Amino acid sequence: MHDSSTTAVHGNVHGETHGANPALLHHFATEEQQRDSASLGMWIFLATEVMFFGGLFCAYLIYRLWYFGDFAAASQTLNWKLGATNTAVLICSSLTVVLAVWAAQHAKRALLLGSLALTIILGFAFLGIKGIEYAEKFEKHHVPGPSFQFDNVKVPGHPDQLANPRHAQIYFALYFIMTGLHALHMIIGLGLFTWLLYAAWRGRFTPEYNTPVEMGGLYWHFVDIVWIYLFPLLYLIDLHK
Amino acid sequence: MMLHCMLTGGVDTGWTFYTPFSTAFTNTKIVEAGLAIFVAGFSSILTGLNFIVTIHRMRAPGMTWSRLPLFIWAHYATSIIQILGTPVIAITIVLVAVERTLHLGIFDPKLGGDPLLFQHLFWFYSHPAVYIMILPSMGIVSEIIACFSRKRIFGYNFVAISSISIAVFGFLVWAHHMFVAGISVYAALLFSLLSYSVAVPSAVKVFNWTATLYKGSIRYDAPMLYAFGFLGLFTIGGLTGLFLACLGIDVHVTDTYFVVAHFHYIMVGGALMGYLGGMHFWWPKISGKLYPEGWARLAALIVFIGFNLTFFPQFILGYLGMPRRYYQYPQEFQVLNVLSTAGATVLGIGYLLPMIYFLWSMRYGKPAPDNPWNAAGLEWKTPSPPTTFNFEEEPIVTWEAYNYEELDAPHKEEVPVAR
Repeated sequence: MHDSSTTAVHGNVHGETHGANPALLHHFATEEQQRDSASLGMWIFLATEVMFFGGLFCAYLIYRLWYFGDFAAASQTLNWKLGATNTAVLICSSLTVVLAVWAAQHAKRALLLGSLALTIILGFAFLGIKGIEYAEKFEKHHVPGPSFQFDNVKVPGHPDQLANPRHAQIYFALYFIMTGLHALHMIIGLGLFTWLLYAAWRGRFTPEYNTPVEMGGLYWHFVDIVWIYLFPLLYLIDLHK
Repeated sequence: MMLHCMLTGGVDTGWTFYTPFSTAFTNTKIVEAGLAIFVAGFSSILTGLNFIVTIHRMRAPGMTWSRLPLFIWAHYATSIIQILGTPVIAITIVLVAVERTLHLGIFDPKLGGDPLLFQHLFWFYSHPAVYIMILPSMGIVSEIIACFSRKRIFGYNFVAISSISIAVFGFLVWAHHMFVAGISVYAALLFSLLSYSVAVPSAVKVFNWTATLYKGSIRYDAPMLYAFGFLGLFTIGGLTGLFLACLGIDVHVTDTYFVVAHFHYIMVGGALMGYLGGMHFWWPKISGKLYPEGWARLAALIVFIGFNLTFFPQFILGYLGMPRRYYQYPQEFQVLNVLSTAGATVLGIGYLLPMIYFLWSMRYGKPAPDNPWNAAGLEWKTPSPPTTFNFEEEPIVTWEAYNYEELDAPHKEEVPVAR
């Protein structure tokens, strides 16, 4: 096994081994070890993200069980067509991310740059559609707070029953927090991918060293998966009635 | 940020931030304090992540899992709690901040929300958080006890796995903080039962440390005195923890000094004693200087006496019914309260002493040899203090942890102070 600390201490004595790849940091012995460490670290970080969103899903689950009718009524004010479009947009972006990782591993520069750029465009498309949906909520006074209005809305399947505005407000509070945090993660992802695009354009990634693309991809897939759960939970409650 | 928060009005919710008081009633700086905790949470998560990845991927050649020092095992268990627990308190803080600024009603019963949900989310992190504090200390005690009784640790595998099981069980007991908060009787029963289960791995540790001492050639240097303190005080803290896990007794002593005393026997008598022991144990390695051993032993003794004087009376006070967070009390509680206050003063002196002589030793202390205790860990095979890259030659581990039967006891003239 190659001795990293010796190399680091004696500088140029074993310099040629390290010199092969300037991206190899001094505290790692081999490129493989560095890649494995980054990968494990990213997976653990995603586990913390699961716990982070998990608290929200827990709150959602409890109130959905308690106030099911009100949640269904509130849910049906959302535009499921826009939600479904956004789901499709994100799934497409996942495909472009996979292509980008493959391109980085196989030194296909044009494909790498193209897929990264396309991912960014799809990310902005998602945020744009989300913005249209948010604007609609503001216009209809569905944003929780002093101006919130949800009077005379019938509970789906129970025409004689009106939804409780206070309970519907909890739905919208959770809707904005969950989709808002998801959008924040998207914005961070767009920042990451802009940086990846810049680094790829500078020719930083090679078949030997493409860990950042792979890690960025893992993050992007995670954010997609969160949306895959958010979409049915928020948009499709009791829709068949 | 937290300091700014404290200096400009503070927070009047106590450390628990219970809703709806924190979201709907208090006028203090909840959001700012929450933001400070959120930022600190990032450092906690990233530290845990760093430890886990390092332990998995960057061990020295030959350092197998069964050769890892128990201190590292303890850190591994701690890191699991940090990465799984901290995100939950982070999202809870977000919810509190959003609810407070926008008046949403997720935790406010007036608006259809449930304050108990906050308590569940809060304790889901904040109960395991105490294991974050105690587990590394347990790891330190394992190192010290093996070194100063010159013996291989008894039941290495059990001590290692007990750290992991404390981390796992720690996530299943949070609602024992809520027995009187209005949770269902069946949930309370279950959580009471699960709380007892934490006692099993804790007891495994204590028994194995005791068995390690058996027939060892024990040296009473300052780190070992702290380890002994840990052993006794943690046992008392642990046993009173069983009282509190018991549903019926807990209802009786909830919010009394009994809980305060139990908590401090674990957190101060246990965790802090361990960390002080660790500071003394590794001080020669950290600073490259020896600390004055005589003063250190005196300080360890003062801490032990002061601690017991402070907190033991609180067990009695609590059991007699004195609630916490009140400065007034009936006449018959006076003696015990005065004892407790006096003990706190003694304890304070005990904490000041190490600060003074550690600082003193950095300038005036004798230079430390590489391995003043003849201890077994890898860190003792490099100069004190370690060089920038830790090792000149990457070490290759071919021996089991705590192979003290192959190491000589330290020579008298090399230990911090000749006896």
